[in-house]
Amino acid sequence: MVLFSLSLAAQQPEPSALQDLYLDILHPSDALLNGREYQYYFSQRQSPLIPKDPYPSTSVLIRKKLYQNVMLKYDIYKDLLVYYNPNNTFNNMIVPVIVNSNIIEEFTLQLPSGQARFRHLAFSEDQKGLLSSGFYEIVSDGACKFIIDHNAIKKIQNGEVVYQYKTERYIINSGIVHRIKGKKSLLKAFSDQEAEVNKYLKTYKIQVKLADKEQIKGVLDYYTNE
Amino acid sequence: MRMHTDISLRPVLRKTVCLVGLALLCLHPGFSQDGLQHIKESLYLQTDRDLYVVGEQVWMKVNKLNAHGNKPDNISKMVYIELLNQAGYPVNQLKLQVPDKSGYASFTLADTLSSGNYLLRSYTSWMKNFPALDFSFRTISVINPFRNLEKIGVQRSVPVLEGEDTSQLVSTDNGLLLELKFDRPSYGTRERVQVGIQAIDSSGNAVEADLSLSIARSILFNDQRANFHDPVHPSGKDEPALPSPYLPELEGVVLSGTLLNSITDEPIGNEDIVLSIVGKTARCQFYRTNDTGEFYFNLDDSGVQELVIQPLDSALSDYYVELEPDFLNVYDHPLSGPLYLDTTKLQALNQGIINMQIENEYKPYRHPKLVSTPEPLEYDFYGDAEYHIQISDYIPLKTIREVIKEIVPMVSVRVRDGLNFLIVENGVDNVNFDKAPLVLVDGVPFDDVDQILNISLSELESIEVINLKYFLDGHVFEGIVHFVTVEGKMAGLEVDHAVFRQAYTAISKESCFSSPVYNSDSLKSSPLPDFRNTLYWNPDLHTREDGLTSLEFYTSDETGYYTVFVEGISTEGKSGYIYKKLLVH
Repeated sequence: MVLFSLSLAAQQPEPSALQDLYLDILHPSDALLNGREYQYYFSQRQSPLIPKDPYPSTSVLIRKKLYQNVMLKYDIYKDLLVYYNPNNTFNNMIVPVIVNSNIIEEFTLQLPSGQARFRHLAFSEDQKGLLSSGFYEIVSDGACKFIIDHNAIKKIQNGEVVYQYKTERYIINSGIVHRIKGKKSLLKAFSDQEAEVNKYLKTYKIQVKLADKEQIKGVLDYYTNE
Repeated sequence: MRMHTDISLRPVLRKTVCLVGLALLCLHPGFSQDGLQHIKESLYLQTDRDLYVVGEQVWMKVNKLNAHGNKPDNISKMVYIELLNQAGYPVNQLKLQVPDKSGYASFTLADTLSSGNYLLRSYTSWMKNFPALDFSFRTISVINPFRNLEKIGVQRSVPVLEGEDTSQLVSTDNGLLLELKFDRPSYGTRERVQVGIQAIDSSGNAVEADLSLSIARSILFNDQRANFHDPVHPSGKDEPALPSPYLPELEGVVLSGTLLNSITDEPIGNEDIVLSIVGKTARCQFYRTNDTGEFYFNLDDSGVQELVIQPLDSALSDYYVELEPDFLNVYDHPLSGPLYLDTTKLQALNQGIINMQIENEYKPYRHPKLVSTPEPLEYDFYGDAEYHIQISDYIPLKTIREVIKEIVPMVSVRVRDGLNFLIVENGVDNVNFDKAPLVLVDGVPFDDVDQILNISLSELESIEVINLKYFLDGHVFEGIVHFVTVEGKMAGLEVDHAVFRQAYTAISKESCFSSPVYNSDSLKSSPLPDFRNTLYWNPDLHTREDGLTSLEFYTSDETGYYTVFVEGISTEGKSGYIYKKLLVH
């Protein structure tokens, strides 16, 4: 049997030798090398790929197996996960590959705001007004979700195409999507406990517009535990 | 599991299995990893009843357990269930996908079955590496009133009035104690019954448990049912496992086989092969056979699928494919013995047979909208194509060649050595790729472009094109062109005679038990007769942290005694059961 083991350092969330055996035999090739060639459409200076670090420390979960320290970048403009395999080269250049989103369970990136965990979310027709299906950072999971959309706006500045990075925060409570722009929208998302949440914001002096994700997560934790 | 006393022993084939297993070990270096032989699974199979009439459905539940601690576990995702007749031949087989710690299934007993006892056995692929005595078994009795009744043995016993005491309650625990309460002492026909269940451990602490509950006419439960309810298996000793020729199935069905040379019968090793499924969605999987010509694919599809397995290199023609059977065709365990009917119960049994016929006659009217599991969304393996050309969106053209030339500009037809082939323009630099793309027709790789060009345009629905390099399973394709026909059946294209193309029964589709709800006067007075033999079946009953759960159902038109049977296993692996009579007057 030609079994070439996965070259990626791997760790099993389900500690099972059976899983290793299974993956080695059923999926012997690089699980991430599954997709089409990625085309660069921007100048190096104005890349919509995050993180900016040339050798990012990222991980991805495929078929319940966690692949760590793999080179992944997230194209926030086209909403694509791009994989750089040093062995996948053409004319001595690494050929970047768009990882097929159907196989990705989760991936993590180290961003300036901290570690971010992304998942591909699909939204129903009635939720699509606010969100389209794609990758979102999952800050808080459960019945009430806090997600962040990392995206980019294409602009022309001084005759050059730039991709302006921006994030949008959303809370999904009881299936309803609320975009969190400030205090008013946050209180609306938690309308059944508006007074308590408002008190919490005042007690901890949280300015929603400027708050980081951990502070918003704290509000959500307070709301769900109340 | 303890076996029924009337089970007879079949000649033991176990030694043969061991030898075959040992031989196969050499072919599977991956299995020699330390510790694998100590990973053992077991199953706990439950049914809604013990006695059935042909034409009825057998409802089943299966819990996946860790064979060492007997705790609920979730390693294998596929469970195989077979109904074996007294000769050991399977008369019904199910491949059940169980993504969680327990799953449910049902099948209908064909009216061709003879009356007698049948053995249900269930196992996972990984369990096939261990003695078959470790499988989970359950004996059911089947009555076919239309044939072979004279073969049934009859036993005489002291007549006992069926369940004369409604408070009769029997409970047995293997660490899990169950309590069962009804909201009233007895019920009228088409009335709501509320049931409360409590699960505690031997110390009296509330526990979470995964239970099944069945309510059926008492005659349809075996007097010895209680003897079957020990999910602990007899061969649970720490004997060494058989070497492992079978892989665990951690996703769907593992489809394995061997690629062989049709002239020499020698295995063809290190050959790239592709598995595809005929249909409008491209679901190709690629694999390089090992040194001994073996290949493995994962199949997640349900129902009957048309599989195509072929080498990626179409120049290879002297080959054939041998698929391994999914079910184990070794029966080195006791089989079911003869069926004896108690003379005192014949009248009640006869009523059950009449009920079955009434139910089958009126079921279509009562459940016009049977709950069916929605088909999962299917994706082409390449995701969304760069170009999707719907033929009906364009003015009618005459030939596919014309379509390609006029409306699929990134693909061109070329001729080499008198044969047509396709070439795709690279979307990155707009220069043609050097190699031909992967060409698919209804999801199946097909490189006879001459045949494709001859497909009638009225049969063609769409063309999808990926005009970029595509990487998959160690292969690089210089573009993909997918022709999808209206029928999705390859439009009668002739495939090479050596190509493996065969209908394959994949994962069994789930079915849900449903029973009438009489929650309004109009429903209560409905003229549709209701003579369910199984009044209610709930395989997905879970007690909460406080050990409690409740449910409700409605009685039918038939009065008499019913048995409520609850059994299951706690999160700590403790099992138990309870049954109680229910009077409908």
